[in-house]
Amino acid sequence: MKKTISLISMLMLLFLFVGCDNNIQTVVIYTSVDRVYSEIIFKDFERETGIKVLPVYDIEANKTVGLTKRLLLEKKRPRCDVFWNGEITNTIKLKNENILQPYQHIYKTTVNRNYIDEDNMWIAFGGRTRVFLINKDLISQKEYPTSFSDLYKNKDSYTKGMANPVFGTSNTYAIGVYTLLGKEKGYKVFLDIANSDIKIVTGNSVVRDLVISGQMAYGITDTDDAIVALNKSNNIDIVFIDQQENEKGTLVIPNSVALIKGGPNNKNGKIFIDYILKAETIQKMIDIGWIQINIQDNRYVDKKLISFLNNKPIKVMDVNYNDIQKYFKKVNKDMKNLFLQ
Amino acid sequence: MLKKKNVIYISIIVILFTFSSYLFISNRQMNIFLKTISFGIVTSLVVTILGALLAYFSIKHIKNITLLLIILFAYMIIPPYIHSFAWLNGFQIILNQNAISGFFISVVVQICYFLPWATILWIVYYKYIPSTLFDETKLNSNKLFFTIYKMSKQIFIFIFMLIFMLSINDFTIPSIFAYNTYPVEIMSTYSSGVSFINTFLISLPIIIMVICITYIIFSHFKNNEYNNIEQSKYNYYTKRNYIIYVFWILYIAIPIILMLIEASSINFKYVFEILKDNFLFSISSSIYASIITIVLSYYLAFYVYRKRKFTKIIWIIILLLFSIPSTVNGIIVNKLYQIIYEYLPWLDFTYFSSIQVVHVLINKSLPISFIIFYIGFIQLDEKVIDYYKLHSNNTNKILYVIFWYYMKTYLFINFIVVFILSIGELGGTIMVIPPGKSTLTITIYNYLHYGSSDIVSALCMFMVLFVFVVVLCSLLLYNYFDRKNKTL
Repeated sequence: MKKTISLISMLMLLFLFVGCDNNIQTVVIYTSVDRVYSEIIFKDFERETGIKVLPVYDIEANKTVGLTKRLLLEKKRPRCDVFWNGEITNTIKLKNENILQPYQHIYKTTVNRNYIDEDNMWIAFGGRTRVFLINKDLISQKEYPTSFSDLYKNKDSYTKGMANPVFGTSNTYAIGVYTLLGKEKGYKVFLDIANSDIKIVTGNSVVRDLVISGQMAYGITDTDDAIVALNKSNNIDIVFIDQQENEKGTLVIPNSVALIKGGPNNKNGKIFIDYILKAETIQKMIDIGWIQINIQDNRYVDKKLISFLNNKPIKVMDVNYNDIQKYFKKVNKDMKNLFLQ
Repeated sequence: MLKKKNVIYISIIVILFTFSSYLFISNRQMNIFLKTISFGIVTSLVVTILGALLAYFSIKHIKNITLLLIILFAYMIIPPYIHSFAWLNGFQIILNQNAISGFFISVVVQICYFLPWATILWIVYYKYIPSTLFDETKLNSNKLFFTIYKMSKQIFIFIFMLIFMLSINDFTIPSIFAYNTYPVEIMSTYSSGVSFINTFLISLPIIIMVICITYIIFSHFKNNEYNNIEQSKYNYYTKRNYIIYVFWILYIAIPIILMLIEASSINFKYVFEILKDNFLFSISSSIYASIITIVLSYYLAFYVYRKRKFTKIIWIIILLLFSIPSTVNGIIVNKLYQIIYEYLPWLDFTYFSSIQVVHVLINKSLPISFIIFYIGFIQLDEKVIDYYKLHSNNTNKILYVIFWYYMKTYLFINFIVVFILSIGELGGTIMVIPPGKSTLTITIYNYLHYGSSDIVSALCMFMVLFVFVVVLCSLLLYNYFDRKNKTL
């Protein structure tokens, strides 16, 4: 009996310490992109290059922060080769922490300078935009909101809402507004929102579900949620924010990708970055529903959304992502004070 | 109730708490902390009272109470997210959503979430009321309820404090309803780029508070008057009452029906493909963690029970492990292994193994496991150990005999609790999971996002079913060994 127990214990200990085969070509990718979407891209990459992807996915509750913090912890002995982020602010924070390595991406010559780091540390691609999601049964077309300010200036009796600007893409939107308008005017916008009767909910998907169910007449969400809403319900309409002539356009929240300094498979990391920035891969991401707009060419939008733009190109908010870092602390402090009870 | 020495320790902790509050946290954070305390008090008071009443009516009107216990155990594993949305949907039907405040809905959902915990503890307590104490109290009281009420002060405090600690440390439910409790504040401060050390310092008030409460609970256990607790011989069951059956069926059915509806459209082949990738890793790390934790905590509990050297240090470590939030646990383990790999690079091959995950799980479940065995030793007659000491000088041999013949119940409870805690762990594991690997819980939370609630529901259903099977198998094994021992 004792011998059997010892044998089992030894075997268990062996399994506890054993890792994976070192002979296979691998690339370690930390990603905050939803797993349902990112794993499709990983499988395609593996098929095309023969390099096995070892991913670490983030969870929604961590709001990208978990992986960012993990990368910081691993700074002295990096384990990750590429950070593929579903948004951009945390990638910029990593640049400031000296975690990233510059890389001359194949996109360099064509991309809008707003979406590429001046030191080549990160590149933004693809993207989601902010839209109004409207329940057609509850609101007539004449009364549709068109501008972001309609959300808090309109004194209508409709129930309307947005996701909490303390977290996620709502927070990125707040940073965008601050960058565009300046600290004081930006704060005033969100102070007005906090003082209005707008319903602040936990996430964009909640806004989507409340609009579909008719508990909210309209709300602001991202285009990926809007697509899900269109698939789920026939009573949904979409309005892209601030598309009129005198308005500033809607904010694009791009994905971002960066090479990690000193990663174990640096060469494979570069191959992955080139792969993800290929037009075909971005097209695939649009097809599977992860992104809805290609920021390299604003005329290209997900087919389901084109009709809502009357075939015009999207008017995009002119925010240079190289400038946004100076607003991080201020926005975070303001949003916490205004939107957490 | 408390010895003079203990009062001094608690005073030191209170002074530390006050200092840390003044030094490291702002006035605004102090207000949030106080608000969190009142939030925790409301939740735990309601849960403890409701749990006591529910347990009382259940034990009186449900014949097969063990089955209810197993179902509630399995039910506890459903992630708080599912509870939150299930109950939110339920409340939206009967209440005007605009009228619901973040505080109210967070408290209500936490009550729904923690109710099985309190009910299980109360039922176990009723079953283990010492028969002598029960009979003595019953002499002076005609009604069963008042008999229990008179004996329940200590267990009331114990359950109240346990739920209070879980409530004030809970991040998920308040964050879903945008109610700013202290863990939400810590997380949002951490997200704003504050360093780990500063985040740890901000967490200090909550850590000190948890240590303080745990210490009070243990003072109760150490000083309580009944050491040799045996199962009560009293038969509580009177007659079948369908109201309590309907209550439990509805309570359990609402989230499960919701998950079934969500999962109905899913292609199960896809779900099994997901499970194939992470099920084995999840199960093996949980089992490793359970075995190592049980062995380690058993020796530690014995060591502390026999009042050897450094027991105070062991207590401090146990209390610290108990009070550290999950994410901080993950960060500490990650940091520790970064240092190990830096100085011992030949150990690098273990990076892709489950070693760090197992370490995180052990840290999380060791205090609970230790407490269960410590209670076991308190209730064990010291003469038993002395008797075996007469026959052998080998402590390991004595502990081995005691483990298999006297600690079976505690081993069973321990395995279930540690396994459930391990398989449901998230905050710490996410910080150390090796690339390319995943646990079942992490996978569920990976998919918890746009449009994939069908996959999440299917995975949750699988998880509930799996935990139910594990609990049932453990119970069958326990009964088998129990019978075997009795025949011997």
